[in-house]
Amino acid sequence: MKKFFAIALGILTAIGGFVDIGDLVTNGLVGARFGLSLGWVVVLGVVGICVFAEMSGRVAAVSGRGTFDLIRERLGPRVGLTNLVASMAVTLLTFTAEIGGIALALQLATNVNPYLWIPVVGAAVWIVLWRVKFSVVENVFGLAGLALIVFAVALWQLGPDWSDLWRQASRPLVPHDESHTTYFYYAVALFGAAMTPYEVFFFSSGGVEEHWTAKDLGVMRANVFVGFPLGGILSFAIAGSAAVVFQSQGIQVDTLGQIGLPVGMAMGQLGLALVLLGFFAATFGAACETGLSVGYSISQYLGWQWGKYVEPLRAARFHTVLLLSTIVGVGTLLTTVDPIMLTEYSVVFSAVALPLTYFPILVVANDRTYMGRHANGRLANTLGTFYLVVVGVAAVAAIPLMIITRAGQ
Amino acid sequence: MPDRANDPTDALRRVDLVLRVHDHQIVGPEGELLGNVDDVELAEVDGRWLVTGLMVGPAALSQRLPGKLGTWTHAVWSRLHPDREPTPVVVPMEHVTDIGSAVALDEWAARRLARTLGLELWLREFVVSRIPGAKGGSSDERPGDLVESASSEATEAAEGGSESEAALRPRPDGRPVSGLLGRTGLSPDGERLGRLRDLWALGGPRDGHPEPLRVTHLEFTSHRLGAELGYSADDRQGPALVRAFFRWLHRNDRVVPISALTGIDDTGRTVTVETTHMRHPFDQ
Amino acid sequence: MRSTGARARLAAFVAAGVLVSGGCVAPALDTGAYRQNAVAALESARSEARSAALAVEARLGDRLTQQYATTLLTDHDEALGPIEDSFGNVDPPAADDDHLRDQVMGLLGDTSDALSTARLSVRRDDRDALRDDLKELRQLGDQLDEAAEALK
Repeated sequence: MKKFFAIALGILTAIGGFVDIGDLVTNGLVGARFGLSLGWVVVLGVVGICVFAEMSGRVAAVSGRGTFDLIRERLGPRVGLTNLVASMAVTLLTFTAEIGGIALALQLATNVNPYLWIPVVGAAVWIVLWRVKFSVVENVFGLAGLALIVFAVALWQLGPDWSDLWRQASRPLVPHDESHTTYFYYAVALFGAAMTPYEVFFFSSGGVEEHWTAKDLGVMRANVFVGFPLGGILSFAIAGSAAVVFQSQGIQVDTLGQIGLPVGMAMGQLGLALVLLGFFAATFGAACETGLSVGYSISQYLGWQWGKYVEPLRAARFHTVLLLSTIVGVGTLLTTVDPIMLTEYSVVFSAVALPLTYFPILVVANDRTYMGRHANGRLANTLGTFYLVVVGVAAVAAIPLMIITRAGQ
Repeated sequence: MPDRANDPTDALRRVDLVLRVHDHQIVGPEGELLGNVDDVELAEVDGRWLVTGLMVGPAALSQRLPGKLGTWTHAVWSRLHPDREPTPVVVPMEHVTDIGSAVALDEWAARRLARTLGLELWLREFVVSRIPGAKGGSSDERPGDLVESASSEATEAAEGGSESEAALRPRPDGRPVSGLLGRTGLSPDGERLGRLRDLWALGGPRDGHPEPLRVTHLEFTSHRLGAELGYSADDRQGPALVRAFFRWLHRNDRVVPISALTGIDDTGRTVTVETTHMRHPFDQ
Repeated sequence: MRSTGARARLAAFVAAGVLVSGGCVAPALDTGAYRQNAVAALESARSEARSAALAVEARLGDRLTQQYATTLLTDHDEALGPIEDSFGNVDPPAADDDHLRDQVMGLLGDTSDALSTARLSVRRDDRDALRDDLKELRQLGDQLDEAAEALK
């Protein structure tokens, strides 16, 4: 019974924790412009993150090593450092976007200017990173994030032409008023949003925080293979409701408020309250995850004591990194940069940075000295190799597409 | 723990120093994280090349970082170090109890190594302990306790200093592995064999008991790309596509026994070896 | 020194490329490109007006909280300024295009006014005014749409 509860809790938090500001914004924006014609990318990205997270979780459970530990070990200090700088730039950008997202969610709830919220939010995020237990952070925000299921309910209540949505999703075509380059630019963005590198830093280091061993592999796999795809359905629901409400009227989505609007229209203020709770939980949870990921990765590269499982005084450098990254994130936002724009850039740069983390994990998951009989099997390696190619193509194409399309204009 | 018994490469207890030791996490007996193996110290003892210690910290790491970054790291480290002429921290091999995905130390070395972590101790005392709530989760320790115990350990170290400090000093005859890596291997006729990419060793700690780890072979490659990924240590490591690529890239790799080493030229950055027993890493 | 010179030139080239692709430099336009700009501005304004109409409608049906609706309308109102600026800052290439400029600027101005009015009505929770604003926003949405389609 206890085990069943643990598995159920893990799956629920995986669903609720799947969506972050990148998924919210990108899916809303893409849904309004392209309908569900980019749905295949969500599927590709969700399967990809499952493959990738399972490997890193397995390595963490069997060897006890977090992802950046392995990156330094396999790429050496020089290449590892380049990798660290690039990955941390993207993760800090995502962290900043998440803090901005929390402030935007609070603005929608209170109509108080987000720039007044940002310092408060920064302080709140830091206090959680400083004081709150790891499992509490994961479970509370994961469960509250389940409120985003209202998007699925709203989509159903909006009464869309299901056969049309299915046709869009199953037989994707570039909409007639959009160019192929824009279409593929947003394909890369959606892929980057589904597969952001921080998810893997966080997932593997979180496994170490929770002292996973080879015995926990079953629970870990249940979280990944059930929780993530169900979380992916939330992405679809967000895109679908934006498509139904906005696409036919030629409305472009560029604020968080617009993304929640279809739920209000379909379900009224109760739905709206759940959307706001979901926005808040998803962005706050992801802010904690990205903030911790910065600390985890830098500490692992340098071999420092890290983690919330030790007393803060025993991981002074780790906690200093957390404090400094929160200050950098808040400082960046206070330059009045638009958090939605930051989010759009963060998902594209995530796609660029993906191979940097993906490749070392694939290699180490095959290392039989560490992994013994838990090394990658044929299925994991077939999918792994396929995604190595996909991730490589997305990374190479991202920047040229960004320049050609002027960031999707 | 990795399932060692099932592993074919472990039967020989071969340890590839770059692949299996360099850059690995160092842990103490309680699982505490104490740094990375930033370099490995070798010395020639009674005609055998032995791994004598693990080099830890900015001094060792700076030698392996490129150009100005390395110089600056070293400069900042020596400027901030309390000693006038600081030496790199080297943990003697006798105190290494396991080499797995992490390198484990015994209690003696872990305690001494923890005292060399200047940045951690400084931030603990002057930054983190001053933040409200700076005590650990469920423990009842007052915020100051850890700091006090840390600093009293430090005072103790300073007072009875010479013993514990000398304990983590480099050997006078030691040389870091990173100083050899990348050197061009030359045959007696001056033919280039590629660059030194790894050193194979045998022995090492087993079941918590330290044992000497001696270097047995030198491995040369014409491509250092992917040298630490492990495809030359295990010829079955997947995925197949990646393995095929790196095996092709490293098709001209060569290993020679350490006994074939005839000279180390520090100015020309070359090593000279006899080539009679030279072979590809996967040939027996 | 050669290499620094080359590097500086490369940097300048990249910077110029970024500026041009980012649309920070107003390039010399022909009539066709000017019309394209007009279509883009009209479509963006249409998007704002229609989205605002949805928000006002939902607010009238009490499906949005006042805070949420105010935030939405503030965002839409603030979005129109940059649209007006980026179109208005480019001079029409030929005298024939002056009336196009007047027509588009007129519509953009009307939309901007309607959005500001609607924002105030939502903030004051003035239901009667909101009903008028909704009518106005829908009308403008259609006008913007027709104008954009006519130029295509």
